[in-house]
Amino acid sequence: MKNTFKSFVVTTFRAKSKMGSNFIVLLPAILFSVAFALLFAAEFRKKPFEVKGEVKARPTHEQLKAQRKEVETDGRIELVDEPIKMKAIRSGKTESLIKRSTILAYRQSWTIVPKESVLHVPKHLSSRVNGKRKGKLVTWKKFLEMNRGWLQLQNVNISQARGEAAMAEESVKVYQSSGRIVVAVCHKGPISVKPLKEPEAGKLAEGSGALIKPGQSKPALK
Amino acid sequence: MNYVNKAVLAMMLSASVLGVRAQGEHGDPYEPVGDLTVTPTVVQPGVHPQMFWNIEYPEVVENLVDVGNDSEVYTNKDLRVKVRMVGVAFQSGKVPLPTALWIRVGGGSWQLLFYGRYYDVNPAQFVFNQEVGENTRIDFAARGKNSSGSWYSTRWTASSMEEVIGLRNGEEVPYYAPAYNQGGIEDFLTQFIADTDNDGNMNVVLGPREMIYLFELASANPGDWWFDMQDMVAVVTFDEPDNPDQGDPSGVEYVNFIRQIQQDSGVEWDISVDAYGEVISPEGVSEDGSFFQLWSIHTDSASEFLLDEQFVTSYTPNGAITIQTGDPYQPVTRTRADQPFIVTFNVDGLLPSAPGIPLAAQQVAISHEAFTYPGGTYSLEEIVDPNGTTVLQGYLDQNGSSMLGYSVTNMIAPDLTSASGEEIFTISALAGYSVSATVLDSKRIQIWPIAEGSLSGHDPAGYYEDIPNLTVTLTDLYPSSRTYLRVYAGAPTSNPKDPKIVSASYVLINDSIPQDRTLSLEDLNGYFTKEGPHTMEILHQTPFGTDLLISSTINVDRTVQVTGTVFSKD
Repeated sequence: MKNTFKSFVVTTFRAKSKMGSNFIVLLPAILFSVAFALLFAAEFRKKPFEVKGEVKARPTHEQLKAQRKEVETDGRIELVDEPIKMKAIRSGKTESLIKRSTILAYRQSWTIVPKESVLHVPKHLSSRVNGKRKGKLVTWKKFLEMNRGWLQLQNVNISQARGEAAMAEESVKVYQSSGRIVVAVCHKGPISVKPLKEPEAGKLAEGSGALIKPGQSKPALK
Repeated sequence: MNYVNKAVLAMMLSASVLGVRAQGEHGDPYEPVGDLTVTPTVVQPGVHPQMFWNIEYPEVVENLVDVGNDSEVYTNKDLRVKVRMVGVAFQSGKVPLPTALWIRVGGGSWQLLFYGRYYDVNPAQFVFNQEVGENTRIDFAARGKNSSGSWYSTRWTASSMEEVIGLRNGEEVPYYAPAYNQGGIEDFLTQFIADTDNDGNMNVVLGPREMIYLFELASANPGDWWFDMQDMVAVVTFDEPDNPDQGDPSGVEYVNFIRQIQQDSGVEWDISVDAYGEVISPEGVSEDGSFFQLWSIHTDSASEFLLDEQFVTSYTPNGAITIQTGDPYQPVTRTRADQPFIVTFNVDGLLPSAPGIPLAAQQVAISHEAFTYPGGTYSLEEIVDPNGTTVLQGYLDQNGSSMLGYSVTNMIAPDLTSASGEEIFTISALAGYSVSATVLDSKRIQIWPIAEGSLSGHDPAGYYEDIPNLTVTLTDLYPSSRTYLRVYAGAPTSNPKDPKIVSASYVLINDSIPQDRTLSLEDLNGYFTKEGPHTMEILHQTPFGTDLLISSTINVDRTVQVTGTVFSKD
């Protein structure tokens, strides 16, 4: 009997117990807990679970096939059977934005600007253009704030960006001698600057106010 | 597939192909999504249109919170934090013992979330559901009472201890709790544990915005055989706050650009932008039109995502597509194979038919194609040239809105209930009117299969005194759904009396792709208290209503039968 009881205690506790105290002392508490537990369990399980609306049976393949009707239209679209053959184009620029950009990098940050927006790169700063990029990508604005010491902005208008107008020679001379990397911006955003087009002789180029002479080309970038 | 849709598809896929995805099979919420509106879209050359954009960043736990060494979390942004108890397994022998769970937000006072025994756990109920500000530390604490009524010491994330751990999706269960890898898993935990990377060790299976907290409440020694880290389990969900501050870029690991591309000159102009805003284009639209692209680039990995693109011109009409479904999910338009949806085409800028007006100015083309996701995948990203089925094509020659209504999916599949893929709608301007043919807008809708469920481990014709352990297998659970096993006495009926929900069967899914779960349910006698037949039903609640995935019966027979006779010598 003694052994049986001991065995019972051991079995009970080894089953799930994480305690090792006197079973006899605990028996009333355990019985009370069991009664309490059963009472609460019954209450908990009485609570109906909320089912919103009608419970529908899972449809079958056949039912879905039958349900699939002719498309409902408002009659404004003229449906056709033959394929509509036309070549759609988007911008054609959906390849990597980074690959379509010039990378400016210094220390632990880098940014991108449109290709052809970097107008001047002094030799001693050439490693900061399209070189190794390290650290985090940051916005152009933040990169500029962090690197004002070696970055310079050159405001251009849209005609100059399109290559239809030359920049003032004075401005070009200034940035070429600045010893900084010069980036073309328009309304604070970096902008690509196309090579200056050959204008019609004697025509006043738009925007810059400069008279373009026949054969004149865009100033050298370096 | 015609040319239009090949090009559209290439365009739609191009952005994601560029990126190195955190989770290959997922789209949202593992990558940013966004839209760009440029208005007006039909302008005279030189006019400066206005740009509006909105970007939603990834919402996986890794982006939303940082997890500390002691499993405490630090919010990276304003969040709605929800906690639900999923199970308690704490008893002496068969006597359930009380447990308690607390939360501490921002180093304040501890707040009691739960006090009770295993049968007090309601996994469908959030015991904490509050907004928590950015840069806030959140701690959890739990403890259990022993059978003499005194508390074991508190387990918490406020200091280093092995008796509590918070895990994210895919992380391995604690190595020092061998029960997990030896099959000793409590039934309420079975839906959260699987060897997902097939390396022989169990991993946690959770939604992208969830963490699970495992507590060992009795032993403080991982060497004890009863140290199983399953005494109390809670799941924490980090959601967007009710009114998210979209302008707050803190914690965001993306840099966004709008790039304007002039079609005639090739001039490109950049502006760095926040998550949302508006700005007037400084360049003006060129004669051949301008493209506006919204990009998001990850600051560390440099993964690029083309979120949206708009074409503005002075000569082509404009078109926009909207798709309405029964699922309010915002980042991606989605629905289920058996559900209806409506597609609306909005067109303006078309000219009336008149001599000298080319056809391309009078009408636009529309098309609708369906693409099936290859087995085991949830996107078309890896597919170089996916084969689609043309569902519909036609022309539209009136400005205003035109609608198409579909009663179910249009995909081709041997079993439509299991169809998964996407349907793509495109509206294109015709070629030959100053510019080349151009896709004006293209939208997709994801189609997900209907969930399936099975119940095994019992014989519907058999009679049971003790209800056997049951296995519930759930496949293709809708990305926004809750699923559970319902039990009631009697034959199947549409209006059962006193139904009971098996607490350990409750599965809550909040993800971007369908999910599978396998559950092992034990100790079910308490749900079958009456004699006779009982009905078991797996119910699946989605934005479209409640579906009965499977129904089965089980017979309870606890009647003691006397098979002998007692005789007295007297």
